[in-house]
Amino acid sequence: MNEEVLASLAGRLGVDPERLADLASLDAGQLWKLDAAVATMVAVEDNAIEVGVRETLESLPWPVRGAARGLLGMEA
Amino acid sequence: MSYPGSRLEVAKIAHVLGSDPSEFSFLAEVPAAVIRELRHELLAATYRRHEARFERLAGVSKMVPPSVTAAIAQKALGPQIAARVAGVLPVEDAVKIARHLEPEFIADMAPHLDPRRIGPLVAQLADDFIVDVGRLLLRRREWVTAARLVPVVALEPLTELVGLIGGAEMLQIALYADEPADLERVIDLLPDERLGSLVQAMAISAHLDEAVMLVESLSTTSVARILAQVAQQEAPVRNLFVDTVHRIRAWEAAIPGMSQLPAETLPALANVPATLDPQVMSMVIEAARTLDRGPWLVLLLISLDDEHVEALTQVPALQDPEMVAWIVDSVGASQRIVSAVLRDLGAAIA
Repeated sequence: MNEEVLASLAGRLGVDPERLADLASLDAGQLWKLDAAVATMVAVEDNAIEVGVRETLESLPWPVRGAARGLLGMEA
Repeated sequence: MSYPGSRLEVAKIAHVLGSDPSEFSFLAEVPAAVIRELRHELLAATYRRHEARFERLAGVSKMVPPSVTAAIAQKALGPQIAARVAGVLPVEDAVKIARHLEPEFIADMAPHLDPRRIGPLVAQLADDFIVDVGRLLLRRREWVTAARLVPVVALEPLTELVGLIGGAEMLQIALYADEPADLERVIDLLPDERLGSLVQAMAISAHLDEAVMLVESLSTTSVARILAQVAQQEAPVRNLFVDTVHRIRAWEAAIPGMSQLPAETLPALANVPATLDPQVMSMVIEAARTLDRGPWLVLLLISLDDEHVEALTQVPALQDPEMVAWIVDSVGASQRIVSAVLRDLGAAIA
């Protein structure tokens, strides 16, 4: 059980599960709670980026919007 | 079981997660170093996951003048993502943009800044600007953020900011400092009387153990300055400190600092209720031997009052002939006097 949640947490952090081995003393419920908090943090940041990028594009002077959209890899 | 320092690390990681520390109180059962490592992984992950995007946003900032970028950052990008982008911008570009940002917005960004990335940027901002942002963080009681930024703030603005806060606030920042060197910087800026107010704040803090543990990581000179202030406190406060040093097994950190104190200061620290416990004095003696501080130990013993001298007869370490021989040997010319004194105390003199 702990291996599963440690793998999940490691995946969110982009690290090898071995690096989180010292957390194995926690029970599965505690690890899932930690994993859920990290998932929430990641989702909040992902959303902040999406909103921030979209609103940044809308706030740019129109002559540079196209180039900026291209640089950010966004479709018109 | 709660590990030393883990509760503070729980507060720091909860800060990164944007959650209340009470939700992660179970993490205190993990060593502080493990939580710290996890926090560093979290911070690294926030950059790693979107670094390419942050760099593209940094590229977009070059398309418009810095004043426009600053306005867009405040209006559209938001403090969290602006902080991430600041971490990947070339320093000269970041400085030009930062000069157009409101201090309130930088204070909003501050919890999301990575001090390891923004040090060169902060170094190029005007001291007054840094002080304005610092004032806001202190007013908002953002202790964790303020502590994280201590290493990147230059001496002059740091001195001004430290001058704005009392002992309780200094303690909060000290508790959340990431590295001992950060704490040492703040301690160096405090005149003795303000160090006294820090000591008083420690005495009534729920984090006294952690605060005393921090003292362990300071230089001997700083420890001596703090102990000199402890020696000037009322008896209950002095006793609380001595008892805490004993409880967290910090004698080997405290004794070098105590050795730097003038001899007339020692009685105030030595003659407290905690040192009537034979186990406490035994541990002091053992630590002094580990540190090879025989002459200081003798100085400590002769600073004891009658009640404490009487209690010495029960100290296990003084029943160990080898330990007593070490004490006698380490004081040099006055061996006969020391032997006589120790014999009078019931020590195991060969």
